[in-house]
Amino acid sequence: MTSKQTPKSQVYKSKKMKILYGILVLMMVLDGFAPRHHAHFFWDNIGGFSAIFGFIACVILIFFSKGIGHAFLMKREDFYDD
Amino acid sequence: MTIEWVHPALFFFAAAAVIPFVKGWGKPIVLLGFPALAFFSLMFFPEANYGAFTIGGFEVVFGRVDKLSRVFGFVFTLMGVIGMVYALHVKQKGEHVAAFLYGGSALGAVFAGDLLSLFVFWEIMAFSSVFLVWYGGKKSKSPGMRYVLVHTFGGLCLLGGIIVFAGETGSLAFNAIPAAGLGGWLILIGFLVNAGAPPLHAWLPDAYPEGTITGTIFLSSFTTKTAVYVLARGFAGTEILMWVGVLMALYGVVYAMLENNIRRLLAYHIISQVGFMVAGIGVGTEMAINGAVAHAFAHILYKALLMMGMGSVIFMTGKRKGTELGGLYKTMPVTFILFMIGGFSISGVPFLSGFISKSMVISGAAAAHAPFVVILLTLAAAGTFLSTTLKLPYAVFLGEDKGIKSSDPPKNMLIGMGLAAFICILLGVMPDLLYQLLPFPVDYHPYTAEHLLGSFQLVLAVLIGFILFLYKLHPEETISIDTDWIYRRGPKALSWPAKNPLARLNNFSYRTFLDGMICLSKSVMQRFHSGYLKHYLFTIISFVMLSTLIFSLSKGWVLHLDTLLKIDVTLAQVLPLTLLVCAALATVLFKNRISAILSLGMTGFFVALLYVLMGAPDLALTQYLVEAVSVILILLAFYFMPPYFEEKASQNTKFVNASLAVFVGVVVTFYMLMVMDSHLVSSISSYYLETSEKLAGGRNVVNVVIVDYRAFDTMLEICVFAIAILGVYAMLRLKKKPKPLQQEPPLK
Repeated sequence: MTSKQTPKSQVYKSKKMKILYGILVLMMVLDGFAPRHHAHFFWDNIGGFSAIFGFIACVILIFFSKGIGHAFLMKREDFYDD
Repeated sequence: MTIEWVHPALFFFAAAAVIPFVKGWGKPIVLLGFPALAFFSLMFFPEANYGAFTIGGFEVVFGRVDKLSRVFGFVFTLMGVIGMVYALHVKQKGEHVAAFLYGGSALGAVFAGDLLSLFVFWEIMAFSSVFLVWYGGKKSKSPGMRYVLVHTFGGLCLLGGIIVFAGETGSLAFNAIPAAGLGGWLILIGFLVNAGAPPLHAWLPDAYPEGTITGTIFLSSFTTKTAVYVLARGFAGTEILMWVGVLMALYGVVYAMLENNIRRLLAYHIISQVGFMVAGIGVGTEMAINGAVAHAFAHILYKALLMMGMGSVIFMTGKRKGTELGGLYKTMPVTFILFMIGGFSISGVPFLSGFISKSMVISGAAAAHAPFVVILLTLAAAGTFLSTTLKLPYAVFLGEDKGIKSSDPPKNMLIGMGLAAFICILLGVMPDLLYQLLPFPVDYHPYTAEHLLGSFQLVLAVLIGFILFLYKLHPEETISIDTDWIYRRGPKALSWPAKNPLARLNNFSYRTFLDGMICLSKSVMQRFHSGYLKHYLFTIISFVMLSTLIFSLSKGWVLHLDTLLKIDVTLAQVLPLTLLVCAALATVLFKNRISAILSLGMTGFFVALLYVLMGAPDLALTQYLVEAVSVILILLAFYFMPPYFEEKASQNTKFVNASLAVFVGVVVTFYMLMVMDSHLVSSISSYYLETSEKLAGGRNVVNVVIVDYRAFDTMLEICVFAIAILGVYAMLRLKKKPKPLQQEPPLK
């Protein structure tokens, strides 16, 4: 989709992405004003924490998984064939 | 008479029994009607213990209906209906039978109130479900076998645990089991094998993607969720399960990120999702247990929806790898939309079923103040969205259009998916439908502003991350090694020493032994198997002599010298004796055949003469006759034999032959003397002497013995003689046919 229409390095500043950023920032701001009923941990009170966490989680998962995958786990498809 | 209770499993088992015999309209009626009946039957019976029996002092309860078992009963039977709609087109009736047996035994396990019947249904489940794998085709053979083996291991752990546990507590009742002691741990391990907890999980992503298109839907619904049920029943609040669950949730996510096989990716997400449930059970508060059960309910439906979506893709395109697929949203739009509903559900997007259940687990963990569990489960939730809802559909439906020709699957498959999608939305919009079924009263409201905003933020942030790092996420043509390496490759590694140094040593010793034996037998055969009659005779005679000699010596037969002195020879006997010896020598020395035979005959006649001199005329007569006949026979035999070629024997051979002859002579003489020395069996000889005249009327005892006492032997001997004579006569009649004159070939 996006990656096809725009060169890889330019994806992050495409128009559609800017819209997504806008929505996300709006939500983070709204989150700052939302009432808290079940704040169990300190981060529950930080507005926009979920977005930051989600993005970091996404990056960690991609690089961690692919990292150990390429290092140890991924093998040719005929690995078990004899 | 009122029916007290009908076990819902009975509907499934009945369907399994009936389905092979129905045709036409009967088939969909049975396929859909029986699980639907099971579903509705659950609504009518109040909570109680039904079907209780006492077997061998233990109480067995087949039907424990309470809130916990009933909610699983509802979702299993509902899944039975949806799965069967999806599988309506399947012609292979064995698949339906296996699916019904499998679903029925899962229900049996859920309603089992004791460990014994639980175990029985547990095993039926394992052995019926494997057929759903095996019907998947040739490639599913080995994964299916591994599936059975791992479940057999799990079943044995469970059985061992039950035996130990029952021995300790004296009861088979299935309630909370302390995770302590051998029995408790073994039962827990048995449960965790079915739950798919690493490192005992590899059977799941190994076998499920190889199952049939429709069978995999049932597989991904029942086994792991039965395990969730028994864990919730037996091990709620066991702290280790909290961490096992977190491990499962992340483990599945990481492997799903790497996976190329579209159904294996979903299989890894089963592990991840069951991890949420196991973690909830480990937290053990009412809210967390409720969350785990709700999540199991929701998960069965949206995971089935996802599996049905990918199954439809495989069904329509025949391709099962992300690298081979792409751009299918144009040709399979309905499948795409329904799949995305499942994908958003599993990701916990608001207004879908995953949102109301997953958040309950995480909130339960938060309320129990387990911050790491909350963070790690949220991380896993992000990963689920990333790989199931973004990466997988991007690879299959969007992405590079590979121009694959396909269309949406048959109507029944679409309806099956539609039903599952409908329930996903229904539960998301009306969570109370599910909440009222949960084992504990629910005081939880998923739709709060903070919760909604948090979920949307998470989803959006992950979506942005996905787009930015899409270049890292294209599917790769690989497989990932998992703990099944241990039993798929481990034996090979273990067998290395056996295959290499040990095998070489073994080969070497074996070869050497064989070569030695061949060498020995060759030399023996060459020596004794020369083809010369003479050599054979030599071997036979020397062996007979040697063996008899050894035998007689071992018996302790000793020659007494005084025996020799007892022999008295009269002068009249000396002459024939001398002649006898001369004739024997002459036989050996004559070079002419006829002369040798005749002189051999002479020895016989001299023996007969000796008999006459010793006063045994009858014996002499016999000897005389036998000798005459044998001489004639030998002469005849030689007449028909090929002409004699003088053989130039070496000095050595002559010496060996001579010594053999001397040896034979000595041994026979030795025997004769020993026989003379030994005591005769007097009872027999005296009996013959006394009775020959009275009983047989003959004074010649020898004749009486031959023709009376041993008449039968004699008769048979005569028969043998007669046959021999006939043979001789035939040989005499056999004349050499004159060779026909060879016809000269006509001149050209």
